[in-house]
Amino acid sequence: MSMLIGVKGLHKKYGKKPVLKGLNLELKSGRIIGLLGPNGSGKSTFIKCLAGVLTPNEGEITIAGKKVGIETKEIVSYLPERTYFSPNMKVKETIEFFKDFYKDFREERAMDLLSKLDISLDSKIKHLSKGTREKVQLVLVMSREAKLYLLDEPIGGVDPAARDYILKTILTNYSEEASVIISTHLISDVENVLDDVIFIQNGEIALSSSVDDIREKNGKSVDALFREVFAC
Amino acid sequence: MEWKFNSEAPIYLQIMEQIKAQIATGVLKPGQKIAAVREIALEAGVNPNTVQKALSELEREGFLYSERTAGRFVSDNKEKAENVQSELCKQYMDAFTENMGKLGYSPKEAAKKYSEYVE
Amino acid sequence: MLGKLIKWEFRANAGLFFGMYFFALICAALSNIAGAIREKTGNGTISIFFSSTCMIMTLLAIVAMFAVIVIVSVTRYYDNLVKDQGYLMHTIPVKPWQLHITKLIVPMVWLAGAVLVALLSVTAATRTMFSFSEIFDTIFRSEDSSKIIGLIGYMIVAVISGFSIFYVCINLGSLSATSKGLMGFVSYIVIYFINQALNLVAMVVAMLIVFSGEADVWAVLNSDVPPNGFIEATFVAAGIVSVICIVVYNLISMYILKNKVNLE
Repeated sequence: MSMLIGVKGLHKKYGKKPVLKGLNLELKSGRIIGLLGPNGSGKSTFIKCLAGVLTPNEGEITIAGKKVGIETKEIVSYLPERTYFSPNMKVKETIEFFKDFYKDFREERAMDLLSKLDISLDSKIKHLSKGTREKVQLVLVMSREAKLYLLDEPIGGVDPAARDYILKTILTNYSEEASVIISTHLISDVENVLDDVIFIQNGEIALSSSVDDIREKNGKSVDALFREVFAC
Repeated sequence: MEWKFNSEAPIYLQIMEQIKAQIATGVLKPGQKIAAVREIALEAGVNPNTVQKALSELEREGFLYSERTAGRFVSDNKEKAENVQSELCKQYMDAFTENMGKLGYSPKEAAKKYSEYVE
Repeated sequence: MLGKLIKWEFRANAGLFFGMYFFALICAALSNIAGAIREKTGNGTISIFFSSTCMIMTLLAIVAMFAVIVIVSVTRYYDNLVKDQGYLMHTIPVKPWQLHITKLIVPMVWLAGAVLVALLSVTAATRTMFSFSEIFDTIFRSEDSSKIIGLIGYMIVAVISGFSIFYVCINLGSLSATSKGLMGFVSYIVIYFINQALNLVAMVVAMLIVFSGEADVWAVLNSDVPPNGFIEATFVAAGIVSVICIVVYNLISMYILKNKVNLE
């Protein structure tokens, strides 16, 4: 397990409003990490900075020793909260697209997962339900052999069965060479799957620990601790 | 197999307990091969590192042993299995005593109730 | 990677654009038929009505073809790089300038195709047979060749300039956290005035250069006929201004795409 992500002094503002206030963090590979925090705490913003779709105002991010850019995009697989395909694309075209641009894309795996989910390759994105679209994107993202998977609220808008499926997919995909960061506010659903958790509040890291440590030291679940720490 | 976890204790400890219980009850027999980390993780819906930690600890405690490429196996050590069994036995009986105590029964009264129950 | 981006960019609107090509050609074909019928049956009211309608349709189809290509291409730039699709485009391992250049190259190709379709449609609709070798000679081998080539060159520059301006406004707009649309609109107004100012300067410089050869400036200014080479000089000056602007605006766009990505 080596150092995968290094973050130093990360600042990001939206207009005048500071959203990330000097984050410092080091994350190892081979871990499944939960990024937890209330809405508006900066979770999404942090993930977007790692993915390269937001430029920080200040600070340094290195992934596998490289600064965020083309080289990191080759090894980072990002699942945002939104549908990012053109609505007119067919599912099979999205597979072709990933195959064209990502060297680490495993086409057979994607096809296999999609057929198990009963999703027709000829359907257009715009004709799929929101839940199905999210599953398609998840399948594509997880069918890459990336070093870092960034999943922004992957289980938020889906039914419990789909949630189980998504968590199972994450576990099946696990590799010591890679890490997964899952940002979510549905903690109890993912707790068993996480190695470590990071609590973010108001753009700062409130807590960073392994799940085992939290349970051992506090005698309660991460979910329960979260409710205490972030009680309104 | 069915895995049940509570959310207050670390999962690796709970996995260890449940595997020990399986050994004690004979579900897992001495010399039997344990499923791979990944398989257990998927089945239980938990993190593979957690499973790995549990199995390593069980190895350290002597309940399991690993053979390089062949995998992990239940230890032939009968004594260990018997120890676990008596340990679990005591745990269950402690729980019974405590619970009966909450109902107002002293241990002797609880024992009597139990004899009646068995008949 | 650039090749792949170009491939996908073409595929994105191929259906629609080929459809517009097809529609224009169909209208032209109909006009052709209408015209043929008119020739055979004489200028009866129905015949005239039918053939006129077809001609008008052809004209509208041609205009629509150009309009659709431009509008859809510019909208796509916004949707693809600034809105939700940006989450995909900015996370594939390609250089940002490649994302940008693709969207200059591909619409230009579609427009070139549209020009060809327009020529074919007009030819077919008006039932005139332009010989392509005639056209070729007129453009390249006649007396006015340099002017015609210059004019075509100027039009190409103008089109590229148009796209460059739209794109840089979209990118400048995306910098704003709260009102991307408004920022984009404001940028457009500012750039429009800058362009007007620059063109004015260019015209003045052109005049100065042209007049430097004339002895009596007032006589020239008061005469009805513009001095030799004035029109050409203006065009050249405007062209140079446009080219410089194109370079600057695209550099700005590419800089923003690389260093100031700001997806919501």
